[in-house]
Amino acid sequence: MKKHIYVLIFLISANLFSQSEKETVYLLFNKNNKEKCKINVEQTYENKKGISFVNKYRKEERKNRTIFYVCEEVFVLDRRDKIDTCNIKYLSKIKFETLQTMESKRGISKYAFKNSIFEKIYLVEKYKDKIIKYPVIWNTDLIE
Amino acid sequence: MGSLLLWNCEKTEEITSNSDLQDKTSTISKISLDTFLEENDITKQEIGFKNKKDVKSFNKKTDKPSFKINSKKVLSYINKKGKTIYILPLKKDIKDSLYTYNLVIKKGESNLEKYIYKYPKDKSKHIEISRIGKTNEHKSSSKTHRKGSTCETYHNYYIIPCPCVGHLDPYICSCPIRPEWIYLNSYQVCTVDNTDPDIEEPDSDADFDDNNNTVFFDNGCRKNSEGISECPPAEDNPDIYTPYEPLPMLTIDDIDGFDDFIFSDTLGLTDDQQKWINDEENKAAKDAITNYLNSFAITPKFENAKVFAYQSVLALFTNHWMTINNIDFDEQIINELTDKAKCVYDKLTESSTDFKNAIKKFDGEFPVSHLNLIMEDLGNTRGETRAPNGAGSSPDYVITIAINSNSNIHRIGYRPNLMTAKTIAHEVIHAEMFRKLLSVLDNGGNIAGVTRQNVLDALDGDFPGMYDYYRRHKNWQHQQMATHYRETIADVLKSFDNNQHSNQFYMDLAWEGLKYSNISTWSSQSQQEKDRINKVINDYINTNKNQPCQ
Repeated sequence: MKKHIYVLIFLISANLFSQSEKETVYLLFNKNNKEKCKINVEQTYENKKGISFVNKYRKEERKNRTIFYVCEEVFVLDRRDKIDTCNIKYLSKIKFETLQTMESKRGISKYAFKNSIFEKIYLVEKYKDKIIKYPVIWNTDLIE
Repeated sequence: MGSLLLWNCEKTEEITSNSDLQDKTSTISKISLDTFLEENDITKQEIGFKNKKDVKSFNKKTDKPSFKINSKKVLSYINKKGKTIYILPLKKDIKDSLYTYNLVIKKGESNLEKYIYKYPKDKSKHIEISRIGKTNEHKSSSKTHRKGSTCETYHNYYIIPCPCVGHLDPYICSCPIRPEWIYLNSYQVCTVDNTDPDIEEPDSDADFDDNNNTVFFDNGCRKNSEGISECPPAEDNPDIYTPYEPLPMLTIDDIDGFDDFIFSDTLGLTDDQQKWINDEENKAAKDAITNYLNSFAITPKFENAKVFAYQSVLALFTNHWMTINNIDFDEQIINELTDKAKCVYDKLTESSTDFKNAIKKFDGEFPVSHLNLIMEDLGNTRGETRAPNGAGSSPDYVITIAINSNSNIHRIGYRPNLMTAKTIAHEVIHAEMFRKLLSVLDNGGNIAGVTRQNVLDALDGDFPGMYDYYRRHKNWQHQQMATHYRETIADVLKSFDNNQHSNQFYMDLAWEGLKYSNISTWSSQSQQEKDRINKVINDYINTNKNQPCQ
């Protein structure tokens, strides 16, 4: 019975999410965090299992593009929007998503690609006494 | 909204909406003065152009105003009714910074009618149009409201533009809401029939080559003060004749700068980019891009062509080593590959039944429209294909393929030519998959805001194979490629390599980039087979690393 209620709640919330306005979400980006992520890579002669451990947060400057990686997920700086800074005291007021919560919202979203699931995504990075808000596009499935 | 000053003339109390804004097929071209004279079978003397000496001697005896034609270039304006009007910029003998003067010559049924158009810099003042040679008397042209003059009232309008602003071509402006013209104020144009000024011929050293003649369509779109292109309605086209239709005002700078790239505003080029494309050294690029855009000027594909043209300018402007030969206008590919990557790509396109035909195997319609091939530091990735995401990661209507240019073992310099060919073929197949998706989605050239149902609806029917893979697999492109396109890749490699190895060898190499644990076709292989394939690839790379391409 309990199981049925959970399923019902999930279906209702899934339906609500897919029907409602798109959300603006925040994801922490902490370059100083030494945490590693286990990611799947191509199986090769040297790496038969196709598993690699990488820094959870990586940032790369490419030609005209800034790319943020959070584990396997790719976020590209959205140059249409501005990078914002604010006092670090606001950090506690931000409700952060995790990759898991974003993935689950993606699972119930009607949108086909990750770049359209949310209204806006901000990666939030601590820098001295400030936080930096990077507007980004979730681009993982649009790069092959 | 910014105001757009539209010429909209009326005879008193009679509102007409005649404007060159609505001349859908009016054309403007630049011709030489000699061509103009030949076309009309007339000499300079017959048309009334005097040499310097005669003008000076006349001026000593009379108070006639005199003008000088400062250019050997003539603007030939053909209006919608097919009537030809020639416009020449004039310089007045006495410096007059308040007005711009044009000599306007209209082709009558049996003669040429000459007019002086006097445009005030102060837009609140009247434009004066004086017909030359009507009488022999001359009085100061500043006195416009004299007996015998004819005045007409013109109106300024604001325009609320068509919602689909930005289209150069009004024919493809299919918005349901038409532009709304809102009355602002009015002004008068008075014509005077008794002006007979002296007009001095241009200097003989002002040569102009007719072969450089530039012709473009004036589809009637204008820029408003916010820089937004506004087009006239596609169907509203009142056919109203007024004796003095608004003409393009021409300054010396305009005619001298008439060789400038005419699509600068349309493409939104920066000042530096405009300067670059108008540089004589880049004339080949300017002409090629102009011709390309003109070929789409009255087709629904113009918006798409505009993107390709802009990307072409951007690529050429950014990469000074590039020439117009790097842009394939037929296939719509911008090739920014350099050195070894370019060499391998060129060999691919030339090899055997060639790259293009080989790729066509998987579903016709190759090549991918608007493909941009670039070099970039990709970290540990050999190549990547970017779909237009609506945020500029790859521009709308452009699929970008990047090949790794860094200094690790994934860079192009380290890898053998055959493996580089494999990477390019692999990425082109991704690009083709994205292209197919874009072609059926009809989403404005990007994949923003597309729903799963949109994708399923779009693919179902047109591309059932893709539909199935999209529906069933997360990593659907690699899944589909591993199952169906390895043979295509192997065929490309075989042709590239002049068939030096066995078919199995090329099939083994084709696995590279597809050997992920979540690709069922790969994971279903035995470990022994996986090891064998990995060894073939590894041995080949090690044996042929740092291979040059010649």
